[in-house]
Amino acid sequence: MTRALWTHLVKDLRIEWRSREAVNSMLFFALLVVVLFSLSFDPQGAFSRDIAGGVLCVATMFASVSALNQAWAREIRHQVLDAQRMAPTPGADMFLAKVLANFLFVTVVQVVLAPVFVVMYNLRILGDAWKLALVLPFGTWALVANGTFFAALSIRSRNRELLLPLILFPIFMPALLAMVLATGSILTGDSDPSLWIKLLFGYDIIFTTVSLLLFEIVLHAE
Amino acid sequence: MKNSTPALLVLLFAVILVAVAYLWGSHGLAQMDISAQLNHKFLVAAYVLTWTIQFGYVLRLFIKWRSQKRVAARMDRDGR
Amino acid sequence: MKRIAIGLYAAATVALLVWGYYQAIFVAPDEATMHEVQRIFYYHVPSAMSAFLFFAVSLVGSIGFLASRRNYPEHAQRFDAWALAGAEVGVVFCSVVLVTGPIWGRRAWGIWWTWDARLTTTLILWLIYVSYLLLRRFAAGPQVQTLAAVLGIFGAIDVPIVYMANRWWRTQHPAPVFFGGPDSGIKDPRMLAAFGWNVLAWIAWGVLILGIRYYVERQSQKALAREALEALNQV
Repeated sequence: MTRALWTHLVKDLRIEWRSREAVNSMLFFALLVVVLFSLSFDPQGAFSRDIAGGVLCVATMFASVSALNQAWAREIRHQVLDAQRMAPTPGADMFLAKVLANFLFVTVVQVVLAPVFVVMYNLRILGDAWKLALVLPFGTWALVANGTFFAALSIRSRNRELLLPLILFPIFMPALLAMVLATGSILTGDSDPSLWIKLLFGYDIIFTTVSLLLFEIVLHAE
Repeated sequence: MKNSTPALLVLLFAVILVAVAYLWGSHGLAQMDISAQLNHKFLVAAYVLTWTIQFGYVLRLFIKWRSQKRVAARMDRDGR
Repeated sequence: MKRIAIGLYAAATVALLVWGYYQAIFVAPDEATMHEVQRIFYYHVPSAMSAFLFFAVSLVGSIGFLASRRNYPEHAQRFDAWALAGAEVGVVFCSVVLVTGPIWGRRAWGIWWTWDARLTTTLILWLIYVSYLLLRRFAAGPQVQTLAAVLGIFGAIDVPIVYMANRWWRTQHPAPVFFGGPDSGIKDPRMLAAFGWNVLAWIAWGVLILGIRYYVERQSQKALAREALEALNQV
């Protein structure tokens, strides 16, 4: 871990600690999505296990978009981003620090949300519950790494808040599919989720590498 | 006259499509059984939709091209 | 001279389309189980092949743009126009595939849509390239070419992953007609001929509209450059 990365990470965490904007808004939004789905489908028994994985993933996905939009909007104010473009540290450090910070935020949201979720959907996990500790971080990483990258990509466009989900969701779809199916098979205990965990892992590796390679280009696009 | 060309093109295009769909769609349908009739209608729909998408796109391209030429001509006139 | 060549090519393409239509509807024999609705195949599969071809053109354009944008700006502009033209024409063909597919599926399978490997991959491919075109429309200014090229590369990387994910998930689409195992391949030579003519016709048509789109994009690039130059001269 380089020093630049550490500095960026500490800075992002400190800003978030002082305002707690991102985590609070994400948490409330995800809660709303969970409640809305629970209201519209009235989940009970086996049916709730079938849809719970999907609802959790989609709720996290929608919630994190708002936070990801904020991630770079902070840097735009007072031309901070321009200053950082001129700094002699590699852009990849800044990117990785942002991803780590957002990953932490989304994970916090998921940890807080999980009990609510179990209550609302009357869940009893039939598969290996510990595998969730692999699926959720991998899926979150896929979402956050791509989301941070695309947020940086769309930051200088008109109506960027609208653009981010439009370009993020199509690319994120295979990871979402793997995440939903893995969570579903853990909750129902019907099938083995290891294939989907491997797919998520591969997706993470591939897209994190590509993002790190291409981030410099996006940062310095003029 | 010149400005009505796109509208005319669209009209012509629509007439062709309707004619093709009518002629082909009504061809010998009465002698077929229900399944064959449905097959035939689905086939017509698929082909006509394919042409609509393809030729519609080309039409849009031409309209874009024309407006581009107009802009270029205006720039030539005003620029010097 | 160039004009005549283009006109001849366009005429030949239209003739090919008519010939392909004639082959598909009147020459090719009736298929044993699916009957007439199987003839949709002669438009559906060539469109899918063309769509993949033009998305590949777009990917090459994106990579070329990123590689040449620093040292050869003039080449980079050409690459960018190819990337845009490829994506747009690819989306048109992909739309044809997505429209004709369900029409065929309703008669052959009894359902309009299913989340099968190839259907889902095609749909997500379409979504990715539509989002690419949206980015080009939303993002303004000179950086849009770079950003679009990056997104184009991301989209292309995503396609094999989507395909694998869905293959493991479920598959209903008929096995690939070619290279799909010992039973694959079209047996009847007249069907094969109709299919071949339509592939040729639609790819020729696609190349024609790709060329037109490329030309239009180049003109608008030149107009933009000219505007910028005149703005500079006025200062």
